[in-house]
Amino acid sequence: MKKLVINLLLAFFLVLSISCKKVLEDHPLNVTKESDIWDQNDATGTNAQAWVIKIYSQLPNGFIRLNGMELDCAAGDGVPSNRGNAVWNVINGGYNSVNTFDDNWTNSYSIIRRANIFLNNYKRVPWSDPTLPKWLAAEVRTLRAYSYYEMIRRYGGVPLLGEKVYTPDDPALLQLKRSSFADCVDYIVSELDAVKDQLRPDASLASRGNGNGVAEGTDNDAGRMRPTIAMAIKAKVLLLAASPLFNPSVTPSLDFTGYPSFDANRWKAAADAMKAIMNLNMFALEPNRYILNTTHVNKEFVFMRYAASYQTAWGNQVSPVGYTVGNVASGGIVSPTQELVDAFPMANGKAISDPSSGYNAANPYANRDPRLSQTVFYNGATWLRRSVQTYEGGLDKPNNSNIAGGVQTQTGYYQKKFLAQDDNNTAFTPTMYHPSGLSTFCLIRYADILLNYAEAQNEFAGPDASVYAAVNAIRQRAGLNPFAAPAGLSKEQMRDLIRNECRLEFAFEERRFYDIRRWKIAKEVYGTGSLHGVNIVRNADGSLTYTPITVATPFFNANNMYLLPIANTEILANPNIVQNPNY
Amino acid sequence: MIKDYILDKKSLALGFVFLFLNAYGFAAGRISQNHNVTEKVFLDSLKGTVVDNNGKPLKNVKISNTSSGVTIFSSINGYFALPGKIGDKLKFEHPDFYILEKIYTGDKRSLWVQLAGRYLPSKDIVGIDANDSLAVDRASVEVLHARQLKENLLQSVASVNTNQLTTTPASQFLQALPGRIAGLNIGFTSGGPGLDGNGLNYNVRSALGNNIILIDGVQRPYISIDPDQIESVSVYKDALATVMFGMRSSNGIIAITTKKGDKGAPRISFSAQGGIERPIVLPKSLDAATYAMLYNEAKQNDAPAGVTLTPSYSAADIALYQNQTDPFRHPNVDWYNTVLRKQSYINRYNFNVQGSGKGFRYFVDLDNLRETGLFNTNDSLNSYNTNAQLDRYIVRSNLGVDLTKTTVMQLNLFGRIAKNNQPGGTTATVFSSLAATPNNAYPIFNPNGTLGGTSTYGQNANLYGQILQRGYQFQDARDVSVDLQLTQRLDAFLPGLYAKIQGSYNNSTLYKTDRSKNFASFQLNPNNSYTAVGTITEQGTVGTPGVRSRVIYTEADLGYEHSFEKHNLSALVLRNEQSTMQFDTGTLPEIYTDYAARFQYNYDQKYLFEAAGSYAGYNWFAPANRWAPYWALGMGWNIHHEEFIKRNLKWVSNFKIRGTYGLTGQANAGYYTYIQTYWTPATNTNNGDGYYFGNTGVGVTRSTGENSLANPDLAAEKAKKTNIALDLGFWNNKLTLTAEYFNNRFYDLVGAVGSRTNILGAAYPNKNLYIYNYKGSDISLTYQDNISNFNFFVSGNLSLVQSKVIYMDEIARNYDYQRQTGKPVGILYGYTAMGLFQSLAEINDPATAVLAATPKSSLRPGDIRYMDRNGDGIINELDKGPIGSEKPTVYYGATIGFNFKGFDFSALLQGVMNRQTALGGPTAQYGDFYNGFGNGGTANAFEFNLGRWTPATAATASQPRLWLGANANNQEVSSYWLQNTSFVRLKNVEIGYTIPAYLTKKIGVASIRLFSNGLNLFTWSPLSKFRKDVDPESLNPTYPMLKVFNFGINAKF
Repeated sequence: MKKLVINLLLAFFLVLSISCKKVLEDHPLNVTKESDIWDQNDATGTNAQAWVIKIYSQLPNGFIRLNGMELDCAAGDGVPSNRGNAVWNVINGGYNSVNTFDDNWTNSYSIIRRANIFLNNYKRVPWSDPTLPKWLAAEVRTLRAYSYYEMIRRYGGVPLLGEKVYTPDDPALLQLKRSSFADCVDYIVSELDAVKDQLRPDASLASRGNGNGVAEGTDNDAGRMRPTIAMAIKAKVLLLAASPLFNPSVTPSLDFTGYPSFDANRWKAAADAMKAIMNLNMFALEPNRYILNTTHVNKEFVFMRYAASYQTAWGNQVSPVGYTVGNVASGGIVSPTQELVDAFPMANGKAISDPSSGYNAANPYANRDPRLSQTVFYNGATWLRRSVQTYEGGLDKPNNSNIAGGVQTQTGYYQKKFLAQDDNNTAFTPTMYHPSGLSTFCLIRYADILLNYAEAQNEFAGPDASVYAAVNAIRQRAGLNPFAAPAGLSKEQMRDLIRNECRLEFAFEERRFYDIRRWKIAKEVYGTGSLHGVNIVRNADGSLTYTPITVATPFFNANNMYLLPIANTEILANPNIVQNPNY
Repeated sequence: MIKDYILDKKSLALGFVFLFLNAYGFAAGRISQNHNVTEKVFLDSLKGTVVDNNGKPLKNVKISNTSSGVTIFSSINGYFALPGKIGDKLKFEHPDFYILEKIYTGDKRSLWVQLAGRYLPSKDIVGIDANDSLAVDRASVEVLHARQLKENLLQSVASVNTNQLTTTPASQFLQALPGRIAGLNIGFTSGGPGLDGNGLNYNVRSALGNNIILIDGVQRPYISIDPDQIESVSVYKDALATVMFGMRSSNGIIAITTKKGDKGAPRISFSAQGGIERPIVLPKSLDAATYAMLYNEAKQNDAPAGVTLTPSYSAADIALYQNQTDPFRHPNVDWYNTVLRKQSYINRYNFNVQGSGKGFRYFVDLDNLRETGLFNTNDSLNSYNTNAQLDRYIVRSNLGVDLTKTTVMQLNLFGRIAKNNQPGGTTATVFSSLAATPNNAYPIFNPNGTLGGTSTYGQNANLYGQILQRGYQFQDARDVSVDLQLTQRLDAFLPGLYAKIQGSYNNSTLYKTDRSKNFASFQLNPNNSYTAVGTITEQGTVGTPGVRSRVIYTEADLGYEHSFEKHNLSALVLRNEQSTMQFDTGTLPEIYTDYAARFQYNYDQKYLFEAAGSYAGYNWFAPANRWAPYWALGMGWNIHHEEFIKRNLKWVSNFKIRGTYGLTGQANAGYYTYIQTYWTPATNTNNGDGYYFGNTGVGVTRSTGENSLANPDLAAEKAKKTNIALDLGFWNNKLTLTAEYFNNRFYDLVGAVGSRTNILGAAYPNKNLYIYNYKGSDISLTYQDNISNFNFFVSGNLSLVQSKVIYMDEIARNYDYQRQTGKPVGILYGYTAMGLFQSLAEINDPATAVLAATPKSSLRPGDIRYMDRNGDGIINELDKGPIGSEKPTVYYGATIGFNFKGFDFSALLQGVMNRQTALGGPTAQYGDFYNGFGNGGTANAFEFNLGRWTPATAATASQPRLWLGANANNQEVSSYWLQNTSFVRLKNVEIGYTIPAYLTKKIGVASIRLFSNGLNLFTWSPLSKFRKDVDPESLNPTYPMLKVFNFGINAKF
């Protein structure tokens, strides 16, 4: 009996001990830890290099990034075809600190965190190649500077963090203050100046395509931060700083809203920075604008958000709803406005409102600036070997439910921008838009540099010959004949001309939304009237009757909307963050 | 090996406790009442045998001759004999059985007396024969790791027994629980054949969730077992009841105890039952003509003021919809009637045998359940089944063996196979499509016999095709478990001491075979040609292993029980560990470990004291937070044992006050979230985290970066729980009442940081932050009595819970009404509706505030108007306040029943009060199903949409105006959509008749009972004023909750 008891007791304790033994590891050992990222045994710094890649991937993208729409649909150049699209709320003024729009705050600070973690740690890696870490650190600082630029153009001054990486529990995190706009500009510029010569060298102009617009360039580091990118970002920042919205601020008492007083030298600084890039002779305008949609590497792109290979999907997204290519019905998602269409001059460069322009309201799309047909589909344009029909009851505006994959136009137009020249093809040519991954999107191209130079130089010195030269280069490439801007324009006339060129050249490239804010003209050009489309009736004799229709009446509050609101939660969590005025 | 365990500190600690107990040297003995019932057998004229339903002899039945007053107890063979004469009335009484009065006639009927078992648990808890294990069982309840006498119970435990479960005809026995147990809020949101927990949601005394279900003390991967193998289901509600479960003790525990053999000769039960299942309600779509008219109305409503649109459906179209002369181009298909049958079937066969032999006890249970689906499938068209269906086979064998005089082994074996079938597109898809397809969408068949369809609804749209031509999906779930328990009495070592070791191994697998395919439907064109919509594909041949898991549970106990003089004492120390491993994820197991102890003491059964605690571990926490101690104390006073009650208030049979208080814990961490991890280029396959460089054709460059920020300090959630209770019993417990008050403060709850800034550059990790309070009471009241042979009972329970957010690290708010702190947990926030706009003038009034996103030009009369709470002239986020009810949650149930001359009857009424749900509004929250014409205008509309606002019905409208697709204004969360979804159900009714034993005995069957029962028979809800065609519990367009009418037969031997 005793023996049995002892045996059972033994068994009893055995159960205890068995269950205490560790058959499996105590915690997962397969996870990647901080020491694996800054690996002191990896002289190639594989993971440290990969760390930088994530930061690149957070660069902003374009195309349909906002509620499935382009930013320009909230800036008067187009409207969503689908009346249920949330961008209509934005057109109607439906954004505020509670429901923000195009809010880049979180993404920017995420880039800044990753950049700072890199800068604080990359030296732990025993780099065998001393240039690589230097390049990477400079790339990271460039990307960080660009994120600040993305924020200050939206909000004005924001908290500058330096190289600090905060922990969630750091009380200082909830006591940060907004830096002044001036300090932000100075910081970004000083950073870009500092890294310019530490970045990996630019590829030669020759390596970036042959300029005939057919072959792709051979630059295998395309997409990396280069000295010219740092210079271009700096020039854009200086242009922003010189712009009427910030120079001077309307609310001088709040230093984050801009400079307290006007200083014309800011225009000079911007012009000089643009000029510095032009003087490098590293870039050129591609003669064929369609090339910008079908190549990654070309002579015109300065700074791209770089991504996956070409796709035909953009054609299915935007082309008129009557088209079906490869069993995919087209979406026709964007309806460009009459206002955008009317902004295109005649091919002779004269505005359609000019009685001598030769504009015929009964045949409104004939003899127009060639960029019109590169930007929008209008009734009668040729596409995939047939005429686009946006007249009432036409194939692309059937007014019934026979639309397979999209929503028909609100305005009588569809977007063509970013498509290749497929008028006489049967299928879409692949372009840069990618439906599943992120797309390649050009953030700064040489045409920006030229037009921005013209803008800054005109503001500083008036329409001198260099201003004309820059503007005319754009108009020449566009195919205007004659391309030369009328001689003898006043500073104001030249300003209007440049602004219109910006609108035409960069339609749907995410410029207009911030340009009309930067120029402080949003209320006049966007927030007072209505946006229009055209109703085209095809008469029995085949003639067409064009009647303007109102499609939207955008709301713009000049008291606050020139700057975007900072999310309410940021203000509530940290009262030191002062909201932009009147939000 | 020996070194290993000797050096183990925790084992040593256990040893010290053991020595401590030993040092006090309490003498042996088991706590018991020692109420010996004297067996008196008179050899006299009135004699016979008293038996139970199985025809097995019943001992200790109190038999009294009401004429002479003589009272005896039946012998161990059920034999009785007492003085009297033919014609005397005998009364048979036994706590487990209904009281029977019988005239002694001297014929066979008198010689063979069969008693009927009670529906509710025995009412008699006083006077127990400690040697009668059945009686002790009856008088005690299951608590964690032991059974305790109800008399001495301080913990808050409520339970039901097998009888209350078997009357519910459902594949999941948990369907039987709503309304049965005070403090348990349990419900189902969908019905139909499904695997474990289909549609189930439940909680104990709170809304916190994470409650666990134990089967024989182990949390297992399966919960759907057959009710016949269940002895009882108990709910552990307070700290003292759950604390030994350490890191899983904060929330309530549902504990299922299976039957063990312990009843003498084999008792065989066989039952066969079959039921008809019908949806409680089905959504009522509009007929095609009405749909078309409303569609036109909706379209016109969306038009700008003054603009008249061409209707989508002409008057001719509508006429054709009405007269159905063109059924192919103008169909009017009642899809619910087409796709669903009126009823489906549920069958269950159960065989079980329970008994004991010399030195062993057994319970064996075999069960088969088959539940068919509602789909109107046609077996002649497919060689395979495309209907929803569940086939389930369960076998359980619980065997107890006395290995030696002091050693008992309990071996429980369990196996379950569940086979679940559904149409290739899944059952859920069919039901959501049913709700979204209007009657005029397309004809079922075209004139040429092909399936109708339109491109509007895309591939695989034809609903009839979905149930017949979409192939099928098949799931096979298998569960095996083995429990082995050895109990060794160590009286030789120290009287009253025992040791127990236990191990349980559970393995569950789920495999899916997807043999779905696509089919083509055809659109009939105006020129009588057809356009194919979709293409036919081969059946898929995809087999996917689903969840595969194993649970290992080990436990080792040392227990000690002792009484001397009037001191009764028991102690238990144990170590247990549950390790759950998911094989399909490859993750490390989740391990809960407890070193737990319980100590009970009472003086003369009057003054009761109990303490329990655990030192509990959870392996997914950081090492510093893995272990934490929890404790609970309880005290009680059995006032009815006091002399002054005994003398003066004899009718008071039970009068106890008790209270408990304790600290409990709950692990809520996720998988090793304390470790800061980083993704690697190899594990990052998402292009969104990668980047491209260089020329085209250069592949993606992958990245690395921080995964979610870790919180290395994350620890267990905790709760301080108070329970104060009063137990009353009057007239020998004919009337019993238990009233409990609880106040539970949950703190260190894991939640999101409120004061946070995105300047951090990363998402904040969750922290132990929140404090919630839940308080309320559970009351249950039971009256059981008989008038002669009419035995009846009434039992009711009511539970009330009021929750409050004490702290939630709430961000500063612009307005007080936005604050959630101080409000009930989980209350709905949204806009306050001020009715509907009645005119354009009202909309355009400059004083009218509207949503920023929906300018006045987009609003129409009949749209919802919101209150501008902060008066800033615009409706936005800042105007959202609490709109839900702040009243406590109340749930209740009432059971009534009787037994009379072979007939038995029981009925359960169950209900919930103060229940509110926002129906309509955002698509994500019951949206399209309640808004009508959602999904771009192509979704369905229902009869309740007829109550929409029109200028003519402005005063009586129950709905906003109609619209197509989305309506940003009306689809905000607002008080407009809030509906009272309280309800009362006639949940369960059973009527049975037991054929008199003297008849069935002739064919060798002890008893045959015919029964019929039903589930969800009637439902009353204020919701029906708003929408008659949905069930208040099942608000989504899913497989409907079912009303079941069931018939069966049970034979016992």
